[in-house]
Amino acid sequence: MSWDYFVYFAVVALAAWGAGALWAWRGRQVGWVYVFTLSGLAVFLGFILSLWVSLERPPMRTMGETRLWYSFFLPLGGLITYVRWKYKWILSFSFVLSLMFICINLLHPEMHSKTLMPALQSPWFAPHVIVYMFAYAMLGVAAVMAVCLLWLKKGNPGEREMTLCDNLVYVGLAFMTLGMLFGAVWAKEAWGHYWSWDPKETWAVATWFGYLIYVHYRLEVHSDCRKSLIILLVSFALLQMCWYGINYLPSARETSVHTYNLN
Amino acid sequence: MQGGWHRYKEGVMTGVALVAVGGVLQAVVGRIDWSRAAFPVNLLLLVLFLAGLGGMHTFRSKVGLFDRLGRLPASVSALGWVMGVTVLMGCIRQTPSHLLSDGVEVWPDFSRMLSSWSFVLLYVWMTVVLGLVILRRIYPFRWSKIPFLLHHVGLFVVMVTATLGSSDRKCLRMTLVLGELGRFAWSETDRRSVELPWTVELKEFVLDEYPPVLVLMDKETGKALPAEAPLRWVLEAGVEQGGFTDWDLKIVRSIPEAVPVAEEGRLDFVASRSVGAVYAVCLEAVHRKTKVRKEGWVSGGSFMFLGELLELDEHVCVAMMDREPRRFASRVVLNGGNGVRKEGVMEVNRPLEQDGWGMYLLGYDNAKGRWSDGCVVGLVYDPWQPYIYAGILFMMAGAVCLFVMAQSGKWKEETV
Repeated sequence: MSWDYFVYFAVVALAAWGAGALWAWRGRQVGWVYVFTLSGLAVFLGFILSLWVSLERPPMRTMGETRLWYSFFLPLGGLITYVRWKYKWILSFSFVLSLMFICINLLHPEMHSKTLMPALQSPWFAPHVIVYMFAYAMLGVAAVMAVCLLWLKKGNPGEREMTLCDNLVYVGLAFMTLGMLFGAVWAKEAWGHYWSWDPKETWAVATWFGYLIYVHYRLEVHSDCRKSLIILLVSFALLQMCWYGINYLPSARETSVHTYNLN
Repeated sequence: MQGGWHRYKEGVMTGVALVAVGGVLQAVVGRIDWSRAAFPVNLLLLVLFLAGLGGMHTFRSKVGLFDRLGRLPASVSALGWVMGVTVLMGCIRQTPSHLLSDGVEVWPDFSRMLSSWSFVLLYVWMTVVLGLVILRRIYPFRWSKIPFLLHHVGLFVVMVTATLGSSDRKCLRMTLVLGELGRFAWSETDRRSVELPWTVELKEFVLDEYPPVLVLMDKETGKALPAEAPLRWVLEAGVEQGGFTDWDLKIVRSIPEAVPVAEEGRLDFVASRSVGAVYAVCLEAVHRKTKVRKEGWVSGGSFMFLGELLELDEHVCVAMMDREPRRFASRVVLNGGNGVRKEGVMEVNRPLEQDGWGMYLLGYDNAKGRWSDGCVVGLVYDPWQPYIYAGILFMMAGAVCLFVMAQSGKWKEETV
């Protein structure tokens, strides 16, 4: 399996996720929502696993490969949210976000390379990336929710919506914490340092603090919903800097050891 | 009770004051020299810090500030300032401590943020708030508070031990050469030699490489084509035919270890296991439309021999990329001062342990590649490591609890 076949899997998965989102939007026959969305997830996961086998390494090295996981976890996060709270629009948003990341991968095809540098050959590699990508997806869904509540929904956000944001952030933050700590333990094993304040690590901890501010501010009795959602979006902007923004930041260019793209 | 941002006035002012005090300290006493806090100073600082926290907690009913430091607005403010200064750190290129820096960033030392008083004072403030929050919440103890405590105590332990322990951590590097005894390492920070209590002998260095990769290259720019998504032909075992855009390629002959020889005015490759031998492949290329045929050797070259390209036309040629390392390892013998001999293999992600030191294989002679006759080893001694690991484990457990309890809403109930 190579990237050449990605388009076929992507089209089938997107069609299934789109159908799931449509059924959820209509609010009838909930069973079909699960069937369609899970089928899409199975097809997409099938591609990821086949690529894994074909590359003979976890497909987590390049930006395109991490986008692959993100595209997978977004509908999964959307489905979990739908199962728990039955928001009929959440699957539509996770579908659009996933579509966006899949389109980026289709428009910027990457080289099919099996190589994996020795530093990445570690049992920590797969859990570190998967846990982080799941966290990013959950926090992505929370950011979408924040945009909706701030600018698309009329009136002030309700307690039910804010509780959903809180729970998405709790889950995202829990996984982000695990991802960061897995990375620290791995770095100790590879280089002897838990934390070396590399640009990627600096932005990772700034992002983590951002979400901690949201969590603590929301615990306040007098917390303002709109201000909370702004904090959520600022934190999500920091997350973008950590994920790929540092590749364009002059202060971080050519100084980060966390760059594994193929050039 | 006042609402809105009035609750954060004190936090904003505290942050401003700490940045100002940090700036003054920076101007008066210079940047923080962490080596001065080495054992036993760091232990003393730890005791004073914990005693100070205990005192603040005890007198919180008499001193309003101490009480407010353990409450949510202080947490939000301290986290906000710490996040801000960390973002600033991310925006400014950081200079390693052993290098000189110049320019406008010298005075506040934001290009050496870890030695900047303002940065450290803001982080200390956050740790004080964290400590007071833990003390305020720990009594009366209930089992349901365990998740909260795991997360907060874990972070507190990591922050305190990693910061104070950094003064005792020794980071050295040494270059090992095949067959020679290594006794001296050099410090990464002050670039001074240190004699080790044992010797290290590099017995063997091995480097496995991924199969060679051929690309179609633009002769003018030297870049692989097509520019938007370069094609790669991996010469794995059993592969005999391939192609690039308009060209069909066939392997006529391939020699995994070869040296170039000039024969009757033309270049040829012969099998040889001599130092610097390269992977060479003789290709036959046929243009799909014009049927123009080309034949010749392609090799990536080595530190001994130049690479060889196969020119297809005036614009493009076939080139072999530098082979990427799959795995590299060093077999070493350690001879301790007490006569104890130990043999082991160092690999990336698989360090060796010796008398509390971790030995990490960091690199080799890149120019020589698999013919490298030496390697670079990092040596790290960190006596505070078990405490940092304990803090990390607490935080991991806290994160799992946060995930499990988030959906039930119990997290909020036990945290407020």
